[in-house]
Amino acid sequence: MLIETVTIAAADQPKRTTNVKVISLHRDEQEIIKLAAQSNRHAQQKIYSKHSPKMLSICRQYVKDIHQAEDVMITGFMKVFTNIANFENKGSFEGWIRRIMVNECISYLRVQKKVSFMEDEFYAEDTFNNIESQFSVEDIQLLIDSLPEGYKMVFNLYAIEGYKHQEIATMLNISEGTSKSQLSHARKMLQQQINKQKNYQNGTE
Amino acid sequence: MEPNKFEQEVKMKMEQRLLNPTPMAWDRLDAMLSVAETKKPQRSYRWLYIAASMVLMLGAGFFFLDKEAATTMPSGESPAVVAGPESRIQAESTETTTAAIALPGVSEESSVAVTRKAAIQKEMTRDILKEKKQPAIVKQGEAVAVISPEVPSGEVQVPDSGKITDAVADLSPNIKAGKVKVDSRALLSSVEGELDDSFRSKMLQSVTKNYNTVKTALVNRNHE
Repeated sequence: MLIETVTIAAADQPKRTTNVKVISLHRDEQEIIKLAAQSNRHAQQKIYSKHSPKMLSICRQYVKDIHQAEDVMITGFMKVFTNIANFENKGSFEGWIRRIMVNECISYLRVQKKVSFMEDEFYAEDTFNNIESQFSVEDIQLLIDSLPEGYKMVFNLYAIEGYKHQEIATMLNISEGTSKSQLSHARKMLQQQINKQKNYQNGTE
Repeated sequence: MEPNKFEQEVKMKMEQRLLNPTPMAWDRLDAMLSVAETKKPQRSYRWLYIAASMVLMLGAGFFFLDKEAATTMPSGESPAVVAGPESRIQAESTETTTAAIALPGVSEESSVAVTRKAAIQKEMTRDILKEKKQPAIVKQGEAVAVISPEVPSGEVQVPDSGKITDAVADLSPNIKAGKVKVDSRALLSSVEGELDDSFRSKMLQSVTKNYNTVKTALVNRNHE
């Protein structure tokens, strides 16, 4: 995100200098990561400040209560700083943190909420809804909150994180068929919820 | 099955959202990090265990080696000492003179036969004969004459040699003592050297064996 804003701001400047800025930003990040690996508290706080808003948002997708979501986020950051020495600088640092955070959310739901999956292979090749209306972020979050934990997890991993069914199956320790079925159930439920809300708005119910 | 329009919208909107955590959140994280850091440096007992087990194994190796050495030492000495004089005797048996031609058949039998005393005494008679050779041919002839009739008799054993040894009783103890003294000293030193060598090699073997067992244990532990 930060890199994008830099390029936008320097649109009128010659390309060379913007590239240099991007490279220097990356080098700064590497420096901070190295310091954090040495338990430099100041560097660790910088990383936390930079990434925590995004990460809390991700945790909130899985956990309904904001305070519990924060707990999960802190546990996630503990794992980040414990393992930061293992980060090989091959790829996005934010992406690495994000993966740790998502895994932490899954662990939390499985343990605390005792989520288990009904291994059913039913899924309908639904001709899905053509939803025209625009939703606000809050509406979307409420819709996701309304889903049962199992459906919610699969939906988030598929729709927001962009994982394929095979990957979701590995992460949740279920079969690929179950993953597809769970997504199908989630979509059905969301559709029902959306229709309900529409009817409320239109005044037919 | 691909993300539909709704899901695409969900992704776009959720990606943009940022939620600010409470200020207390960092304080909690800070405390957790401090706890984890104080815990970390104290966990190095593993190498102590490995070192201790190595010492124990070396000690056990030493202990068992000592036991082995103690039992093999006494039996090791006597055969070496016995072997010495006999080899000396066999070496001298090659130096036989014409006078002893008659005796070789007998002496060979005796060297292969039961007691070494008989062999030594046979040597005595031969040596005595040798010495007698130098003074006079006559005496030699006499000795031959004395011995040759004895040979055909067949049982040329202790009693016959005993006659001759009695005649030169003075010479024999000196010769016997002198010869054996020199031999035994050289023999003992060589035997001791052999024992030391084997002890050293045994030590090296046990040390390398222990080192290898510890190494394999370490590697297996790492694999687990």
